[in-house]
Amino acid sequence: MLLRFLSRRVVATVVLAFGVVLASFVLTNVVPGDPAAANLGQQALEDPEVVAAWRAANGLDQPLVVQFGNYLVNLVQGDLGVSQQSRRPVLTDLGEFGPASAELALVAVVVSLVVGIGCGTWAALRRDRPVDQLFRVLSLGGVSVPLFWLALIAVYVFSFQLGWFPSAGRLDPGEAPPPKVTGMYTVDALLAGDLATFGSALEHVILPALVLAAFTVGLLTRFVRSSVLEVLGNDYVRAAHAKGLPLSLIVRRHVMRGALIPIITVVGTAFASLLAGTVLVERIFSWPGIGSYAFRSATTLDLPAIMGVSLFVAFVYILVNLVVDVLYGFIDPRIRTA
Amino acid sequence: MSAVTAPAAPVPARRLRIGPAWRRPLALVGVTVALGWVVLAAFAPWIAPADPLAQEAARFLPPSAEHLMGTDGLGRDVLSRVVHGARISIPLAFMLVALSLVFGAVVGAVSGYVGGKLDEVLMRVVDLFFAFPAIILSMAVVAALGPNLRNAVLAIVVVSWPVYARVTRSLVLSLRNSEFVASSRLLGISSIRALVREILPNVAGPVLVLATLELGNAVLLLSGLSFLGLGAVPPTPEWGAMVSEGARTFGFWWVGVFPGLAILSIVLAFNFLGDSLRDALDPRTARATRGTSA
Amino acid sequence: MSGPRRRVGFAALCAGALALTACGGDAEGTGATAGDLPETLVVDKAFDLKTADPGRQFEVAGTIVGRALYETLVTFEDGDLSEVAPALATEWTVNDDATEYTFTLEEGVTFADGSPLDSDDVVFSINRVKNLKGNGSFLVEGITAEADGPGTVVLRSEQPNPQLLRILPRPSLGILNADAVRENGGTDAPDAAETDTAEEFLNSQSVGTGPYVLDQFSTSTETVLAANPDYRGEAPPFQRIVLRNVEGPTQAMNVQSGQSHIALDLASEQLAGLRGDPNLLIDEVASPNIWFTFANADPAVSEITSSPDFREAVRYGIDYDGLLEIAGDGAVRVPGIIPNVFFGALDQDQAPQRDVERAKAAVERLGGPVTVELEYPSDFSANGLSFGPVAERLQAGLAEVGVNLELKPGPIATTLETYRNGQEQMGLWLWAPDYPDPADYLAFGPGELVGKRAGWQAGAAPEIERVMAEVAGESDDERRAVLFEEFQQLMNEEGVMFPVFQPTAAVVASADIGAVPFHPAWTLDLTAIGR
Repeated sequence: MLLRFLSRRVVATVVLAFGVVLASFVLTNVVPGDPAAANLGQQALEDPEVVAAWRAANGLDQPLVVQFGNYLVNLVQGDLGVSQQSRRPVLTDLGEFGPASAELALVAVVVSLVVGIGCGTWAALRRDRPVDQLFRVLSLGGVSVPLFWLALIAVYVFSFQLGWFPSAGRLDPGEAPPPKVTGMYTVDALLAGDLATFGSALEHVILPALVLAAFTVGLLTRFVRSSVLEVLGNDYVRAAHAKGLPLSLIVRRHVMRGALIPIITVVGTAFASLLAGTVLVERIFSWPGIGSYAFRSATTLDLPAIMGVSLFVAFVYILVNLVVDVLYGFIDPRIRTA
Repeated sequence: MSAVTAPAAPVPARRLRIGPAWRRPLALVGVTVALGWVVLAAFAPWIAPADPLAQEAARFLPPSAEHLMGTDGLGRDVLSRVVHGARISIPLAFMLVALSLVFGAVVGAVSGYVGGKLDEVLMRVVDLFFAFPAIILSMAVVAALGPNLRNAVLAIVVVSWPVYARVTRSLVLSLRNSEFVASSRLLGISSIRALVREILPNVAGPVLVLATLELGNAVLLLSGLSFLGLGAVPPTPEWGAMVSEGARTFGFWWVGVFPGLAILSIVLAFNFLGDSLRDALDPRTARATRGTSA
Repeated sequence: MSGPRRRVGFAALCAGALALTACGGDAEGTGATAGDLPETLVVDKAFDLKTADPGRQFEVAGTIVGRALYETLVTFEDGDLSEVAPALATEWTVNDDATEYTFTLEEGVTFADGSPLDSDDVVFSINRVKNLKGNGSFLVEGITAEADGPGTVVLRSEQPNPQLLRILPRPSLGILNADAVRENGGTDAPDAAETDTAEEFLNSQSVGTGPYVLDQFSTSTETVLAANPDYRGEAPPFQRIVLRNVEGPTQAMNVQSGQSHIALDLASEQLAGLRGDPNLLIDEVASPNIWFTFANADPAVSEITSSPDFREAVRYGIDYDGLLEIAGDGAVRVPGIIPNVFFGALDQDQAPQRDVERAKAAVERLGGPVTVELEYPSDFSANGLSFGPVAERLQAGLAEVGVNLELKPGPIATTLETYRNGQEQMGLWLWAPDYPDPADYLAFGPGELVGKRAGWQAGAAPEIERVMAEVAGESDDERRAVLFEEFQQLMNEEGVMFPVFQPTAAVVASADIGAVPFHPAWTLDLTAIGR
């Protein structure tokens, strides 16, 4: 049965990946622009030979069907093509920019989990008291604030006026990145035992990650609160309370467990929303991540890069869902058989 | 593939019922602020102190008695632009949500009610939209059709209808086999009529809550696209585009801060409303998938 | 508005939790004690960087990098574009009709890897640029390079090419170590466009004779140069130069708070916030980029814009002074199509002046107020100035005389395409000089590169074309200057181009590295900093 589950998953994933590739290919070719225009200089554009050479070098001189076929053949072999903008294999680009965004998103998720679960539980336990109302307003504020605006304010206040954090990049200028393992500088620096680089990487990641976390903290706080409230209303919790068990124990033993499933669901969706948020936040913090890459690729019609980014995001989405489903199974064995 | 399906609970036959507003201060604040913006939007030409397009004053004047929110890089009155901005963001947000809601709800209801192969195919398409990076999709749509507000709205509809489709479908599914629908079948009511008369009214409540919450998201998405230069065309006084100008002219904080506050306040108002509506309904019902952010 | 000089807060916070070195390290690179140059120079630039291969690069950031890594046959000294100075060539002769240039190479020059430079390297480098069919190929189109012994190179041109000496300093024409490039897939053969595969190699290391070598290359984050210890001239003043990809507004903050030494893409409004900061030195001049708008001359694109009355309405309706305000304090009107840094430019008083009555009269002849589309790239900026505000100001000014513009911004990939196809009714664009010679601006004439984009075909203005033909065959600079002026005066009377301004170009440098001048040809000359 597990096998059937897995094989269905794999088939669905392949179908989805194909759909994403096809959709991005069609979309990019429908756009009435010419990637050559985005890549060649004014004088060069005027020389048909130069334009032809550029198109040939990027495989754009072939019929569309052949281009698409070639892409699929190469894709199966793990070759995503070469970006017209960076002139590097798209896979190399993704290997560099993906982890940068992942680092941002992970820090944001960790912050959201800690703050969201903490505040949400607290709010639930103090239902309708001032603390609950305050958190309610704050969490709604978190999901309401435009991230691009918050990012600007954060840079202006914390980086520019107060000077607490750097405003751009992942490391200090000229500082060599740690030896690549995960591509996330904070993790890699720790793995290499390089505390100086770790400090610098952490210093750079914190402000954009906090901005990015505003939305997910708000989302999680609301969800945790209502999940906890729901569990608190259950008979077994009431019974435990009636038995005179201390509240902290009840929360730890029963409430958190029961509230976990909705929390996992939200973290899954939050992760996806983080990817969207990164486009705006990364631009403001000059963070070389997948969001900046996506924006640059889309506006310059860099076809291989657009398809690569789309595949990457779809892949992350599928992976996150898989993890969420597996976690469901661990927490609540009934779901596995369902 | 089972994606993140909302644990939408099968609680049928509970219709929208809202308690008195004064018991819900947040709802009251939400309604007041939202109505305030609607009034500002409706009477903008009379309320705004200046023509939002007139490049009459000096550039970058700081806030003063004459220009309460200062002037921008072209010498326009920021306050007037913020007020007129409401005429763009608010109607468009309603339009956006209405379009995606109608489209998504129809797809979801049909998919859930008909089931079988059609359901399978429709849900794979929905999956595709969820898996496809929203921002790339909307950027591509805008790039293909040219950046302006109409195309930005279209792009956002394209990326946001699947949420409604999924929620509607799961609600319809949970209701389809419930007793009272089965009984109406026994009574010989046709399936279309059953869908329209019995199921949809029950679905309406939760979807309405979702829509109210999505109003805020629509404002965020629209201003986000404009911020990236993919939405409003100059000189339209759109809030996201104004924040973008503020980002360019960093030292003159008032250029970007006030339009940003406008976005925050209207989105917050919508979310206060939606959140209170959700509480008014069974708190379990409306726990829908919300995951898109600007 | 004054910000803190250094950020300390978070570093101080985490110093307790981590080893003391953890956060202290960041100060070494950028900080400096008074009087001393820092070891590492940090330059912020909004990247348009694509490659470090001189034969393929053409963009501003690529030019800045290329200038530091590679040397050219001749160069410009101290930002003076009026005279060409020796570089790898110590002397040269030109024949009378400017078709044959003979260069004598400096003796004893070695590449960074120690191998000697000879005429083969020069011939290879120039032919490779030509045959790669890349962005810079037009620079040496029609030129053949030949060696005449190891120390002499002859460049021949079929047509008289009086501008060649001013083209050669362009870093695209930097001299590479031919053997090293050949070993790594490079070729200068006629089919180099298909067969040359050396780009990846040249992005991993440089093979030039310049004062710096390539240490780390990235088109998205930062590109790092290291001092070339074997450089034959004065030792490079910095151990490392870090060129970071940072957007304009953040650049202003970074340079003010000491996180960087040089900011390159600041708009006038950001500069306003920096003036008066004693720790900053600002060099503000008129950029050699010209901003212009045009009215399409093709009736098939627009009956309105192709009418001479419309041209008159626009020419006299544009609010030139209002636009200058947007362009910044150092900006100037560009009286003709040629910017003021080149010979042949017109005097300021020859610029068309706004004449609202005259423009309104022209609109009357058109049958009352008209509405046309104005396209411009929305995601592109130069010298920190983006197109949106300029278009908005242009719109406001023209509306006063009855010419209503419907703004149509778009990503550059799409707008450039309609522009190139000559489909824009009106367009707002800029022109950055390809080389510092007025010949570059003949492109704006009828039937030429920009002219055609404005639907202005050959034969549309015989008088202008006669002058263009005459100047193309002329090799005497004094005579050329006269002809270029005539060309522009005629353009100002009946042309479809409306040159608007040269915006402010500024280099903001932190005081500890000394004033850094804007370079009119390369934007920033890294080799001149700290000397």
